[in-house]
Amino acid sequence: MRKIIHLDMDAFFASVEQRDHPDYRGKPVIVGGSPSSRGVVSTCSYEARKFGVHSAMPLCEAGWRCPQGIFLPVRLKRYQEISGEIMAILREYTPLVEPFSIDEAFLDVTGSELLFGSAEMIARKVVERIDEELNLPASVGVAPNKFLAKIGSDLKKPRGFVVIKTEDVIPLLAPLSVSKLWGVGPKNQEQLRKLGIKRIKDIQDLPVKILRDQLGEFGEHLHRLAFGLDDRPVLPRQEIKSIGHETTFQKDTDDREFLEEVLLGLCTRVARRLRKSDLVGQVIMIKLRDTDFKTITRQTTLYYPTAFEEVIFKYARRLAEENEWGLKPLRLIGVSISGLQKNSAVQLPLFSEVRQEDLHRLHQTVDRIKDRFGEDAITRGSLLPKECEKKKI
Amino acid sequence: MKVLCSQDELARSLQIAVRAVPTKSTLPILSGLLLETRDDLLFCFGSDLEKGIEVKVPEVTIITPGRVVVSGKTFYDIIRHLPPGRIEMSVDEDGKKFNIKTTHSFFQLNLFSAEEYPALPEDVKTIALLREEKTETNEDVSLFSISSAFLWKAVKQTVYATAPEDSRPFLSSILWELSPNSLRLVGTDINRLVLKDLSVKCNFQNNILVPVNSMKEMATIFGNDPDDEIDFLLFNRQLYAVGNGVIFYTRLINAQFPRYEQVIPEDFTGEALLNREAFLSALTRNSLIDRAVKLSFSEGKVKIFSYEPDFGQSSEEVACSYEGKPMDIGFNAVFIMEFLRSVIADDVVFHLSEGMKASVLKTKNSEKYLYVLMPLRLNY
Repeated sequence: MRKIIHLDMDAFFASVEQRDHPDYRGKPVIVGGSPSSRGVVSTCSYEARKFGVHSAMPLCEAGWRCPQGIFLPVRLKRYQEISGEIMAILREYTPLVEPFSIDEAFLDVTGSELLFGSAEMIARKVVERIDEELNLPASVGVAPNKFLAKIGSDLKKPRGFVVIKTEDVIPLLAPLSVSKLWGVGPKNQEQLRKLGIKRIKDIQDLPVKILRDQLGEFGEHLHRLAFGLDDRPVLPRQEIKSIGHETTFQKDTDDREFLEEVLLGLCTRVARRLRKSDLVGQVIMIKLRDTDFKTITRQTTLYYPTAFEEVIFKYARRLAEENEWGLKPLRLIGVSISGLQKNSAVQLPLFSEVRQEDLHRLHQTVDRIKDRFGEDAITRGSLLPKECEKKKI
Repeated sequence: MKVLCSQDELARSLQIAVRAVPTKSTLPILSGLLLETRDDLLFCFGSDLEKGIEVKVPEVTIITPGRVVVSGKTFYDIIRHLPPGRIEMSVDEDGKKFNIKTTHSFFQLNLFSAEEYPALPEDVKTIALLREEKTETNEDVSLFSISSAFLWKAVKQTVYATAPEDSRPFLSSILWELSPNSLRLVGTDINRLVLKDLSVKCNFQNNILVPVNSMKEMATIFGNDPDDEIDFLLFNRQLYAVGNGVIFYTRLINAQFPRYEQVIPEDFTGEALLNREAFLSALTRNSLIDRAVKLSFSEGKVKIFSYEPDFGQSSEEVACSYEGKPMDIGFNAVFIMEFLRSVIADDVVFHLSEGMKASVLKTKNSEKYLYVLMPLRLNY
């Protein structure tokens, strides 16, 4: 049997802020931006959760629920740095560490038990070290597979420590909502609700045949999970799957010119990150959220993988136009690129709409300037703040 | 309808006609094969609307004429599994069942409604008639004739450099550039371009785009018998290939082919003369590490280097005569290998361009076959 640990940092961004600013400790910390800005709460401390604040809540709502809250901007770089330190501690116990997000990781310690003691002991050591060395709280789940380990770490947050034994699995899962099952999102949940399935117990009670008939392969998958069966391996080197940026506007807008500029800005940032990671991508996706919170995502596949904002923007704008952007005022736009591959060998085309080689040289030069003198050292004229906006500043 | 025929001839005819029958189609009737008697001949016909094949079945006795549609795949499977000998095929009195009788076996198949079957292009009948009467085909429609061996070779030498499944028409088809006494085939998958010249007797000046998949079909259908002459005809935007009792037709692609002349380079940085087999086997080995290879040309040799950081590396030197300044250039090894496999010459000439421009591969003595390929930008 495998021994899997899932480590999940408690209120990670907020905890990092509290650790970096001792005077924030014990106070409601809300990371995401100021309550007058239009974004959403990224993370909040457990002190803030008492006021009913939770992540993904609009910041203005968090503002009136918790007026005494300490509202802070997201310092992603800092969190990434700390995340790296956490992963380094984990890798001391096993090479099989799969960072699942910035503040979560799976560890397969099946082979480490002879060296470091039982999986439970390893989990204790890891949490203690993260607490002592980094001064951050974490929850862990120890179980025979990834699914159960993740359920475990989620069970008693914050500072939870849950070991799931095979014999306890079925009663432990039974009362939980089906939304805890891997692969069940809001859409599937609705579909399951129509079948009278709300809790994992409901699935445990159904013959697998019915699930298969109703939901196909997905039904079988759910059935296995409901009995705590999951054989996904812990994959140590998770490559980046997509790179994206999005932005929520100060005020909903249907100003096409403005939207295009914002989109170009987002594409520029995406392309720059692609090139920094030495990647090219082939699938471009846009996300549009209108004033009624209706969100659509659309994607297109390029004939050629690219790392240039000129190309990304061209297709992102075409997608946006095909979906009549700006017909209703928009609240958010985003662009991302996936289908990533290493840029180590790029096949050049004989026939091409854009001169790939010219773009390559242009960006090579611009990137060098940015690397040396900063991101703002050189930019497009259209991305500069407008005269009128400057005056306001 | 009632006809007598021989099992092996019928099976052979059906094997060809059934190639055009689509495995999946939105039109169920297209999964059928049309059997039709005209005068004292029996024809079988299959089509997926894009292309069609009509085969004249030899050694047939027609007792009563008729026109029926039977399930293509099943009918063919039954016929090919029957023992050699005479087969009697007939339609029931009510016209709904199709009987297949041999000395010992009896099969009855449900018929499709023959009225529902899309009418085959009138031109197919015209051509079949002309062929039977052995009269000279109308000069207005006749393009040229070519031996099936040449056709087979020309197809093999062009289709590999295309992208048949790409949605862009100029990548999923091959340009036929017809001019008096020559046919030039041009294909590209956007990274490389292949150009093949054939000498044919032709009075036309015309450019057509033929789907790559249809060209592969043609090569398979007519490639068996290298001595056959294949006649090509152009009727109402359809290309017909006719030979050995078989009429194959395909729709043409209505699209623009790019100005390919512009991407064929004329000036080069270096020129290497390589032994084809030595170069091919070295590339095959080194591409096991990664398809992307770096070629370093210098006097007397080319060094092949392949490198995949997560995997490993390899290198190998191949002797060649090289003229020009020493240079490093990256290529997709598969692109070069496919060219090397498509020719039989002992030596090949590699004209190399630096500065991320196209290079050219040729055989030593032939100007009729040209391969243009773009390099890879390598960052090692």
